[in-house]
Amino acid sequence: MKLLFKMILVLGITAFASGFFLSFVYTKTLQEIEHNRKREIEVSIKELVPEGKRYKFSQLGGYKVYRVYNDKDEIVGYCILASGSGYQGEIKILIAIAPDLEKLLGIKIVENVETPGLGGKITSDWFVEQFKNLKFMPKIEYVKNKKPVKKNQIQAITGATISSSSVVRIINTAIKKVLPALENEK
Amino acid sequence: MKNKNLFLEFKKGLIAQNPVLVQFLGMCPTLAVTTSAINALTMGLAVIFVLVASTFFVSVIRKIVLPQVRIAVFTIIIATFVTIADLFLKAKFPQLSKALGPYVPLIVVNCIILGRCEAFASKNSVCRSFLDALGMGCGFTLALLILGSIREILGNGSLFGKMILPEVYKPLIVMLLPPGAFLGLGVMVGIMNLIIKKKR
Repeated sequence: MKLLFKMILVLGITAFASGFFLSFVYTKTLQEIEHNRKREIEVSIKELVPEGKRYKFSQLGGYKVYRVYNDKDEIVGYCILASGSGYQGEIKILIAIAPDLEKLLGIKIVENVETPGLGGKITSDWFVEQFKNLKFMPKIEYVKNKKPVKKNQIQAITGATISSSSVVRIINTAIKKVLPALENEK
Repeated sequence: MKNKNLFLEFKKGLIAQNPVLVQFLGMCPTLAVTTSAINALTMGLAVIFVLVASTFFVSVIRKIVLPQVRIAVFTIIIATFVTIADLFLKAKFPQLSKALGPYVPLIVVNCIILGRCEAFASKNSVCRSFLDALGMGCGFTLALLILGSIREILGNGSLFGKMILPEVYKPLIVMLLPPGAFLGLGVMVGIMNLIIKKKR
C-alpha cells in the first residue's frame, strides 16, 4: 500500500512538473509561431502581387481568400489558399488571380511533401513561372513532353506527371468554387 | 587518471560505440531526414539537446525514482524536452521545422535517448551521464551529417544549399530517395567496420 502511494506520488510530481514547465514554454512560443504562420502568407502574397499594399481576408466557398488592395484602395488581385492531395501527401498552393478574373497572376507552392528531385520540382522556378498570366478559362490543362500551344496550358514535369497534374487539379477545383462568388461581387 | 576516464565517456560515443554506425540505434531519423546536410544537422542538434537535458535530469533524480515507475518517469522527462525542442524550432526556424516534419516529435521514441537514460544515466553520476550523453549525441549528429552531406552532394550537387559540383554533373536522384539512404548508410557502416577491425 505504501509502495503504491509512493509510485503515484513520484509519477504525479513528475507529470505535474512537466506540465507546468511545458505550459510556460508553450505560452512563450505561441505568439511567435502564430506570427510565423501569418508572415509566411503575407510574404507569399507580396511575392505574387507586388503592387499590393494591404489585404483583407474572408472565407469563400470553403477557401481562404485574400483580397489584395494597392495604396489607392483598388483591388489588384485575389489570392486563394488551396490544398489537395499530391503524389505523396498534401500540397498547399497560394493562387493569385488577376482582378479581371480571367488569368492567373502566379502561384506559389506553400507546402509539399513530393519526392525530392522528381515531384519536388513543382516548386522549381521554371514550373511555377508557367502559371504567370495563364488563362484559366474554361480550365487549366497540362501537356506532356512538348511545348504548350494554348494560353491555358502548361508543360508537366517529366517523370512527375502525377505531381504536376495534382497542382493543376487543385488550382482548377479552387477556382471553380471561388470564382462565382467573386464574379457576383463585381 | 580520473580525467582521462571522463574523457573516455565522451569519446566512446563518437566512434567505438557510435549509436548509429555501431549500435544501430535511431535508424528511423537517420534514414528519413538525411536528404540534405542542413536537415541532418538540425536533427542532430535537436537530439543532442533532448539527450543531454533528459539524461541530466534522469541522473539527478536517479536515487529518488522508484524502479517500478522509472520507465514512465523517463518517458515523461524525454517527452517534455522533445516538446520544448519542437516548439522552439517552430518559433525560431519555421522552414527547418517544416522540412523535418513529424520527425522532431518522433524523437520521443528514438531509442538512443531512452537507451542512454536506462543503461547509463540511471546508474551513473551527473557528470559522467552528461559527458556520455554529449558524446552519444555528437556521434549521432556526426553520422547524420556525413550521410546527409553525401546524399545532398551526390543527389543534388549541393552542400548546405550551395551548389558545389559543376553544372555538367547530372545528379543521382536515387541518392535523395529512400534507397539512397540505405546505400549511403551501408557504405558508411562498411567503412566503419574496416576502421574498427584495423584498430584491433
